[in-house]
Amino acid sequence: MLLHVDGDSFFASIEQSVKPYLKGKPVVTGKERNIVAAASIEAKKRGVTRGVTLWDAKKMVPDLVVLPTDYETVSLFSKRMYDIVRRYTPVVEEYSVDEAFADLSGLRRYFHSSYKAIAAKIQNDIHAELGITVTLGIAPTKTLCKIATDKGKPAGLVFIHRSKIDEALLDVDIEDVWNIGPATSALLRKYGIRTALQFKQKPEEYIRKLLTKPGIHTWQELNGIQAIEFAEEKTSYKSIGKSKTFTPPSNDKEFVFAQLIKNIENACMKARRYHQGAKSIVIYVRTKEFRSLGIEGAVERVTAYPNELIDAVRTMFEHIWKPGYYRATGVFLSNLQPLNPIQPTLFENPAKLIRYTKLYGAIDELREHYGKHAVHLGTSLHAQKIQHLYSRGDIPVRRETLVKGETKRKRLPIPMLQVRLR
Amino acid sequence: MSPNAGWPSPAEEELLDTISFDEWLIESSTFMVKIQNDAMQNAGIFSDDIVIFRRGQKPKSGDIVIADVDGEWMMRYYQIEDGRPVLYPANGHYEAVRPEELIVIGVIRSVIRKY
Repeated sequence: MLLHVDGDSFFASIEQSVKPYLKGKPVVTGKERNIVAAASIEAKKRGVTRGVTLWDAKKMVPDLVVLPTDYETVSLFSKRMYDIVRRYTPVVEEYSVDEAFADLSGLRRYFHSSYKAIAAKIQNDIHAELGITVTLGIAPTKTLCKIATDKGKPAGLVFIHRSKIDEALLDVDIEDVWNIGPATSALLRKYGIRTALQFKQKPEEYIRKLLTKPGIHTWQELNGIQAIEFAEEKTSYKSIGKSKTFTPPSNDKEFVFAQLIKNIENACMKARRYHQGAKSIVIYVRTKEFRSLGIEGAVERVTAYPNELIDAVRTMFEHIWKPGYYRATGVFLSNLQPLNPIQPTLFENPAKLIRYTKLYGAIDELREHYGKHAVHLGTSLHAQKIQHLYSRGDIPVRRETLVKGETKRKRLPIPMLQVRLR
Repeated sequence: MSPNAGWPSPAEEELLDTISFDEWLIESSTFMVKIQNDAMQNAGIFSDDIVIFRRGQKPKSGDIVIADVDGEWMMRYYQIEDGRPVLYPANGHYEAVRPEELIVIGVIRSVIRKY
């Protein structure tokens, strides 16, 4: 049995949790981008939805509280929320910052309680310890879990038992099913399939003729057959990772690429410091919705020189890039091996290799004298100056209420209650 | 990751039984709050101190808690008297509170003052 955990109005609820005076008030986040990124339950009740402009939202709700997104606090809450889920089961897939799947199979005997009771405990712990509510969906497959959660929003707990699937799907529109996009739902509607139940009840051969693999998987999932894999986090890397967030999120492809190259330069710098090089490299980009897209590539031979990686990385980047807004890039250099002496490949010009070794020896020396990015690739130029761009009122309160010893760049990893105690 | 890992130093071994300041101070549900008044000064908590509290923890009589009394948030001693909670300050200039309704947000775990 699987569990889907979904934070209710996550970003806005977190603001209400650390700023208790906002409880019960209509709150939205997204000030820095001028659109509503998340709306509190109170704001939603008055018609404010995700994605509307702040101008429109304020017209609807004149007393709307508008806040900049506090990614740092959100990330702390997210991590804690998943740590709580992990108290009950080790199998957790962090799907995004506010959504996770967990596998509850086999836990009933261990906890001497039903799936529903285990889920209720998770829900209570999260509410008591973080001051936010989550909606939980329990079902035999991920797709059914998502439907359960939709039914339970907000703060609910819905269990779709294997024997009650049809009842649960009866009133679900086909376009509201997870992974059914607008094109697929339009196609299905042409064939008279308007609800999730109608879709589920078609014979498999019929669906196989109509749809491709992802569609067939969805059909299987609605029929209670797990077809979408559980993606647990890789926990052990023998690798060097570097990632950086930038604000505001950017849709400028070259800027995002420059950010990525800067991370690669940083990771290579660290690798060289340990006289290590990578045989494979993972790059990823993270959307403003915190979804990660990544790809892994192999390197012809061990390297710690950005120049040697850049062409391959460009190709990898082209593979994963989709138009949209991104907030972070990152890189893992993995399969690390000693850098010296490098064994040139058969068709390689050894002189070139020696030049890189000398070049980066010099760059590392310059860095010692003049700071981290004294010399860098032209490609990362865009990313060298400003990492975070803010205008007035766009800085989260947490960044401005520093405790002694914290700096603009680094703060303690504990959520701070923003209230004046009496 | 160390490229030239030699023999482990015996001192390293002895340090296995220590905990970091992080582990010592931060628990799964701890939050921090900056104190901006002197209501608990006789308990040694002053303005500008950082208080670390555990959210969602059930209080015992005698604990220092952060509580929500009718939308007013305060930090006080928590005491059960005649089966009812009373909030006591640690400063003669403040009054005890006997709330009709009380939500205890968390229990204080440590106080940090960095000079």
